Amino acid sequence: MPVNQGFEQWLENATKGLPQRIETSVRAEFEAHYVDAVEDYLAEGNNPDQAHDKALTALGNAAEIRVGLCNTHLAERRYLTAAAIGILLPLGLVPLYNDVLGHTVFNKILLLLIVLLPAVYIFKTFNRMLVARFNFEQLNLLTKTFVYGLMAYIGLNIFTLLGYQHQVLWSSQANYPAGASLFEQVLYYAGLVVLLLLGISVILWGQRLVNLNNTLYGLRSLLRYTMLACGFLTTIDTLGFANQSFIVVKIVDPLVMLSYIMSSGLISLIFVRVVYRGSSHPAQLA
Amino acid sequence: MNLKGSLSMLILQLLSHGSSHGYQIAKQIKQQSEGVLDFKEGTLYPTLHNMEKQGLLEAYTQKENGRTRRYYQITEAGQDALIHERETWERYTQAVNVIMKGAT
Repeated sequence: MPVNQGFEQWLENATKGLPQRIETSVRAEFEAHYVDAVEDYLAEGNNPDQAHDKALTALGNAAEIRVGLCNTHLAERRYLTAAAIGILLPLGLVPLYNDVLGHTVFNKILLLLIVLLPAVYIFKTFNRMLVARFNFEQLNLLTKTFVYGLMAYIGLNIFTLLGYQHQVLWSSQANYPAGASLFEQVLYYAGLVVLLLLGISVILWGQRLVNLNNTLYGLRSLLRYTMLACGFLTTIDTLGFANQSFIVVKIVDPLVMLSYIMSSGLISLIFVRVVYRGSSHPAQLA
Repeated sequence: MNLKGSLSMLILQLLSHGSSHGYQIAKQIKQQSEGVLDFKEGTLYPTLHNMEKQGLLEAYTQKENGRTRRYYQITEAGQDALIHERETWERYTQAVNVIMKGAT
């Protein structure tokens, strides 16, 4: 039995944004449901148009169902991101409040973690798009690592590529470079807005994280307060009321850049998996 | 009548008699309740998928008349959850009944 255009539209709306593998399965399930319903309405004596209309109406509001499906199927990924942020942010912000960043291995590791912070936020935005549109879940580990690392790299440098020679200004107007063009100024303030949003997001995501039925290896309370503090500090700092720290990242050659990208991506993946392993599924949080 | 909160219990109860697919479950709820428990059928699926993720149900697909049907069956954890839900429900309805009888 051919399905009608109204149902196709409904199906599109109900499954939009789901990972492709799940979308295919859900579509098949709804199609079977719809065809069964139309057959029953026809058997009750309705004409084909009436049968299709009734079957469609009985299914309900597509947007409402999409929210329900996304809450079920994307919840895990959302909470993975929140968990990763929860671990990375407290670690990453430690050297942010130092005036001079030393060259110890420890500081280099921390610097790498800072690099991952914007990456995590870019994951949140792009991961869904990658999964939904490019079947990202089925790519191999090496490609995933590269894409994640690339996102980290772009995330960090997005407002420094033009005019700052890879200088990454995290915050505070005291570090605003003299003699900058109008375009650079706009870029700089756009960066500050991004950081402001980052601070606010951390607070919001932190709240979502701690509402999880999730042990996080017993670090839940510690994480909660550290993260909230970091979120507030980032927000306040971005508003220009606090510290005047900045961090410089220099990319010297393509090989170093590649290893930087890959290591960022690998650490992102490891963090996300380690943090979430053994935790209850977010679907149990009803 | 709004089924929110009790839909998963009804699904578990129906599936305790054998596996079934979404449309059949929706139809059974409506028929057995003689239309009192009416709901939008599409909303059943997020609940089914959620229960599957929680390990209360298992699903398998089967081709029938050119349609790919997804059947759900109750798991052991689902059986345990049903016993618990049923007890909670009975306590709840008893409590409500006591108050309602007292009101007449």
